[in-house]
Amino acid sequence: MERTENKSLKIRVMLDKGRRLVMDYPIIFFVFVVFLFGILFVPYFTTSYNMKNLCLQLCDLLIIACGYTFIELNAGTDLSATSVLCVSSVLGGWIMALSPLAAYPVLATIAGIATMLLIGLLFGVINGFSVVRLKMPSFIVTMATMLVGQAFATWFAQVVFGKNSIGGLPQPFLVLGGSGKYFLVPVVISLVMFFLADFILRRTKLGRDIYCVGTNPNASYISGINVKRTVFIMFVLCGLFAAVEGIVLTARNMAAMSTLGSTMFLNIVSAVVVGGTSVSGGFGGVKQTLLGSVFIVILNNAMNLVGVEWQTIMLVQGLAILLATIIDFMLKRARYTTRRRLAE
Amino acid sequence: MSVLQLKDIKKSFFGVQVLHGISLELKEGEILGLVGENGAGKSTMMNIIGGVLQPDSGSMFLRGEEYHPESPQVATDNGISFIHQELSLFSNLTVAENIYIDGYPKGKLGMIDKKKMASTTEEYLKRYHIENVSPSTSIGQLPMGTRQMIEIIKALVKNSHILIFDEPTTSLSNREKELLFKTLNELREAGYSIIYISHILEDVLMLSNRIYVLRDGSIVADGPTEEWDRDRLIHEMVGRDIKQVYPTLEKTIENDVAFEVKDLCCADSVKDVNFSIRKGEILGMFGLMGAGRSEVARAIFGVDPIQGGSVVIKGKEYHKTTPDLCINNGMAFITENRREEGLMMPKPVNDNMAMVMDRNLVRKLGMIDRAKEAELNDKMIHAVSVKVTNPKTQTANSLSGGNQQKVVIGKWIVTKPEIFIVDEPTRGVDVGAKYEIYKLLLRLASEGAAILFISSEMEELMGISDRIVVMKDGHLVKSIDKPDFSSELIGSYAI
Repeated sequence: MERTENKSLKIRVMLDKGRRLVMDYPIIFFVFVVFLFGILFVPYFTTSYNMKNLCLQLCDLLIIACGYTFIELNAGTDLSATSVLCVSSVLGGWIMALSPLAAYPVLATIAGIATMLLIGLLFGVINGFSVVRLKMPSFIVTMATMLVGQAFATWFAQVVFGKNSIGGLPQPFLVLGGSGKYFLVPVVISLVMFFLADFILRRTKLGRDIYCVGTNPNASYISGINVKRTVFIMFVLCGLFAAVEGIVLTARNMAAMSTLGSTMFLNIVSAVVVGGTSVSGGFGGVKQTLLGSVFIVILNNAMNLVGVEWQTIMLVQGLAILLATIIDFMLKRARYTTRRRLAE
Repeated sequence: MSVLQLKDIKKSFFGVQVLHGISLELKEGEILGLVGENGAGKSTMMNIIGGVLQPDSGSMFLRGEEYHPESPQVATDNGISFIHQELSLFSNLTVAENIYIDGYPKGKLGMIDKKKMASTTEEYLKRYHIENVSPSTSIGQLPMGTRQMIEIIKALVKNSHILIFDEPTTSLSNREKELLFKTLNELREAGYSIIYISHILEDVLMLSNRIYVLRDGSIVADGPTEEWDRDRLIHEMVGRDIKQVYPTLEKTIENDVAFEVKDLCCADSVKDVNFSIRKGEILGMFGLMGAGRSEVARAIFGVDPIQGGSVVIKGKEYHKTTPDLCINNGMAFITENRREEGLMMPKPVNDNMAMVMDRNLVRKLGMIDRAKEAELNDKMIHAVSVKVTNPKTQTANSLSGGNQQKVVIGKWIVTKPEIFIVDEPTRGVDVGAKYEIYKLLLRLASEGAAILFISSEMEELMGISDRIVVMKDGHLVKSIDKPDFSSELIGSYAI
């Protein structure tokens, strides 16, 4: 008698574990499917050249998507994330290729990287300050900073470079892009950023605060959490992660470009949302974003190799976001209703 | 002749019986007064009549015919209108637009017949003595009293014959009130039937033909107004036998004042509140809805701004507080609204428990001491005896109201505060859990904590407080010591 009860309890615990896996990582099944699809039906998908390519594409998306996850955990928006890429690219490029410092490659590289990080910080501070102090909706603030950033980058490139992009970046900087034998450098950078974000979210007080504020800002405030500071830091983190992405991308393109990242926003949001970070905040994390990024990158890569047009890719990506949002909505309802069963 | 009749209406929420078989009769051309404490069931009853809620059992009759409102629309179609405490007018629209908001008169081609709107509105405005207001004035420019009248006209235009007023005078000046009463009398003479709900017993006594008293979900007394006076009404509203048993615990109240409020003003309505709590003391705070109890609590804890005065926490005076500062000074605030402000409902019990204590568990690199966190979590769940199978995964919203409240209490006591502000801790909690919550609070007090216990249940306040302060209209009107506790006395100050 007792044994059967034990057994049924075990089954219930297992079922609960399974349900939690699906609830926490709803994307896992789809990643599997799209990967299998690639292996089975897409020519050249499994070649080492393509795998390497996939890896780099994943790096290109993962860092900034991890940064964006912070914003999404508070149900906010940061449209300016991609503007950080182009502004930091042109300014960093100018320092490294055209300024007086350009004569000293190592120094130029350090100054360039510092400038680019500062740009990310600046965007984060402006966005965060406007949201927290001026109480502006993040969509509006970041739309404004996005427009200003893009316009500035274009103007700066036109006036200073006389064209949209400029090469001639110092050799030490290009290492960060992973050309040739340095393939692993950007991979390591993105992994470090990924683990840093994961560490912040799961192990630190700041991470706890981010989840609390994203779930219930009122209760968080009353519990003594500094809600404003937490939201501010989320924007700063997003800006900084975007800046790191700007560094890696600029190095990989071997050129500072005023159009850097102009088509990336869709991919970033897709990776975060499809990954399973809740659009209403409080649930998810960078592990989800990693899976989401893998999904988006493989999907794009596979469809590119098959040779479908870009509108088809957009269509599939749009449907994926729609599906993810619906799943998110259903999970939210499930979180509210079904757990009671376990209580009894 | 009876217009509306309720027969044995019962209703419960989450297993808590709110209405225990209400029977009531409203006659044609009368004003029926309805009085009762907060939580007596008035709103639930009105919501059932208005089709917002469905009764569990019992029946209603409208002019002798069975009446089943499935939605508020059905109630409106049957000629029942509500005039609420908070007016439901759109301040950016005009008088005429507001009056016709849920059914514009249609003219040719389905277009809105503006002429008809204006002329009918004008006619009504004149009939109800509202001069100097044109149908095209926007509502935002009008004083509250006029807005109230327009709300009434809105009901009359819809051919309502039953009007239900819920605390209609709270935001009116005396002159506006007189005009409202004059109109109510005119409406009665014109054959309308009116249910008038109010805390202001003088008004009810003056206006109504008959009065029903509601207490704890039952009609405890009713009769023609001539038979009532203020004292008897209060007696019926609050005078109850103590049904609940309260835990007792030997404790001493020390002489040290742990916490003091000086001339506190807040929320625009609360003025010059003074009180102090000593170590080991439970200070009860009573007041009707809107008396300013929760406002005081929120201002003390820095959730809403302090507009004047100060709070003295363990001898240090502060003119501005934040939750962060209060917590650092050993305070805890258990809010009345645990769903919105106390808990993260879709998150596991452990995450909720950790909200306050994490501030003390920060180690190098901002890391959380997770071992300590887990240890304290287990300890707390035990200490407040939350019924939960797996606190790591089970979410707060899967718990019963009582267990949710225990989680809130647990998340606060883990940091060992010495001053507690507890606002309606037993709301929506079943009897057993109530007892455990009382026990917890008493235990905290016996360990030397100072507790401000805010409640609208007079009975529980008398059960566990050492002293009760009464608030009315934003003022602290009286402090009553334990030997003098009686519901009549407390009620007479609060009402």
